[in-house]
Amino acid sequence: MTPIPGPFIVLALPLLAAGLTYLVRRWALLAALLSAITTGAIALLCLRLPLDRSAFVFGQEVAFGQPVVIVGRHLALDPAGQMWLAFAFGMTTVLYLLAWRVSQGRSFFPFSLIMLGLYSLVVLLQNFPLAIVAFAISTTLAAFIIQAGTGISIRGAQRYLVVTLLAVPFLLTAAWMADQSVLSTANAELLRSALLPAGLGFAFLLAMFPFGTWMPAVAADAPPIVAAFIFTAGQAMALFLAVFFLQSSPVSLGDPAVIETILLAGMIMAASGGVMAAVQRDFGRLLGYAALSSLGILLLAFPGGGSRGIELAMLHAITRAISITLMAASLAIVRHWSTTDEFDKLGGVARRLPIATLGLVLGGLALAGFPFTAGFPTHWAIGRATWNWAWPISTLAQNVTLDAGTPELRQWMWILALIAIVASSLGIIIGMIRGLSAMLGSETREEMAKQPLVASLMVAALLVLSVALALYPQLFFEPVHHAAQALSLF
Amino acid sequence: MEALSDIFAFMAGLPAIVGLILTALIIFLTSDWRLAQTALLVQYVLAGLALTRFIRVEVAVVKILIGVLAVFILYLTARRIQEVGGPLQPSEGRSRFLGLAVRWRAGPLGLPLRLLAILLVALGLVLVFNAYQPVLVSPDVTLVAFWLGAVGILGLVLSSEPARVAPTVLTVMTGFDLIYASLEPSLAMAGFLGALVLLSALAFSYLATVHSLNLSPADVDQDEGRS
Repeated sequence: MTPIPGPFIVLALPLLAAGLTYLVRRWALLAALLSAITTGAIALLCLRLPLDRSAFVFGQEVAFGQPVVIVGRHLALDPAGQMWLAFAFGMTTVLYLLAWRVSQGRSFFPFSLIMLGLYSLVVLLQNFPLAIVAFAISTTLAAFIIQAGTGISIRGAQRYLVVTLLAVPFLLTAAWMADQSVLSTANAELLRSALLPAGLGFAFLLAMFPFGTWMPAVAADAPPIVAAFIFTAGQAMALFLAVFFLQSSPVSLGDPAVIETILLAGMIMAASGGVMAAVQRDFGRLLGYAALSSLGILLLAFPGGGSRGIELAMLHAITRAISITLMAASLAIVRHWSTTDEFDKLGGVARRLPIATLGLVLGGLALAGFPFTAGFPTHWAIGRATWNWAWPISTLAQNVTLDAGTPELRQWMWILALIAIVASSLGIIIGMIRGLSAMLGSETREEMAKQPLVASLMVAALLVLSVALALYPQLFFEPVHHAAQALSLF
Repeated sequence: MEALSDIFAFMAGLPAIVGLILTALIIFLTSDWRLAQTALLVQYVLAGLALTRFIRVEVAVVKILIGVLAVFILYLTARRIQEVGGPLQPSEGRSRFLGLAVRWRAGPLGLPLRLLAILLVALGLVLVFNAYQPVLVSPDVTLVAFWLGAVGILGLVLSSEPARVAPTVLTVMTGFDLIYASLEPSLAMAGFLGALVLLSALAFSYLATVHSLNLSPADVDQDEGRS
């Protein structure tokens, strides 16, 4: 019997499930189960199946690493892509289960499944320019789920669409310039020039300053679970593209220009997100700015972690995703039951929805890296790494300053990065305290229904996971280590 | 047949370049959706014509067809919004040209400010173009591609409504395609970019429809003021 190739599974299954969930979209339980089973199965296959040989799944032979040719295009799964897809599909499985109890719009299941199919295509294409366009195509579909049939504001969906479309020309230009520099030694200087369009393109995709305004807008406009999908799976794919570009072009992560660009972008995002989070008046935007700030911390992990930078960044991506999911799930309950997420209208909600309130606050605190939450271990590690680079007597910092051409400037950048990390944490914590104090108001809220049992249990499970990750961060060390090793073989 | 081919070759040269410059200018200056979409349609035809100098005619024709389909999607949406009394019609009783308010106090959507902005962009573009001499693509196509990109981005900065943002974003993408299609002749890339243009038009149409459901004509000016 001919084995089923892996690329065919990760590409066709989500698309097939999208068609089916579209037909049953009126029945939330059926659509959610169908979607969650599909994405959960693909995530499991990505985590368990080897790429170098066939394996049997329910009696059917599956060759996960076998390439396929579709319309003349060579599609193959490599170890790095396999890990990335496991993360994207795994996270989305949790989001689908949450969306079953708190409606996120009927279009969420089919459209997000098509987007996941396109994310698979991004990974399988092994061609950076085509992968960029495939990712942009997925963003056009995001506009539909962000709006979710409601029409209060279109700002978030439109901004996300526009920044992604604007990123395409810059990234395609960068890819072309990098290719030309490899083809001929006469074009070697093109490689340095390619950094400018690449930097601009990824600034758009990764919501770097000053192109990050779409994140709070999406968090404010979109249903919370949809926003979490874009901030976790969507941004993971944008990050995959950035790593793909760095690995497939001769520009390396060790290049001083690349390090300084990432460092600068990370510190501005972390600090600005934190400061803005402190002054928000609703939980939607607070989630957006906290996620933006946390993405800045993730960027700081790349240069800060040195040789373990990628591992640290990936670990932070996982804790960040869990924290965002916890906050979004709780926010979905609060928004659904109290019909708003504005601080001044949430008085007394904490007493009616205690578990959702706890989830909301702990999710936010986890994004701030507060102790005993999922975000603490990686925040601490990134903070310590930054401290090492900034501390004048550190031997590590001294070694780098000897190598770098601008030791004074670099030293100051690390000190500023440290300040940015503190500003990020403080800003988010202040925002959460303001929100919590509003929710603890004395209003009785008799008109509000009591907390939903199943949805609250799901939030409680996420809470337990968040605390467990804070106490046992080594839970994800092994898969992250494998993924980092896979990336080095990209 | 040869005469037809000569006319085609002539049209793909200077007339297409001048036409592309004018269409971008119209898209930027007008707030009349009919005029903007007609200019976008002409822009796709002229871009396809200009591209026949560098890529296969069949691919250029497909690019034109994709553009026509994208404009058709936007047109159907605009018609539907207008039928249900949406915010696409400029309010009456004010002095307007190309659908834009002519007064100086008209804000970012007023014609005087837009004319000033376009003048600055044109001057900047001439300066940049003098400093950077393109070698891989012909200078006239490079100039017009940069023009489309710059005017499109400027239009994006000054617009907030999806019905106005869509033509400006598509103008930026057309400008990029003018250069990139000649550098990257892959059919797969042409297909992917075509799908992106069509789906973008669809997404903007959806957003325009949703936007229109929430805005009465009286709200339009307020909404534009926030841009």
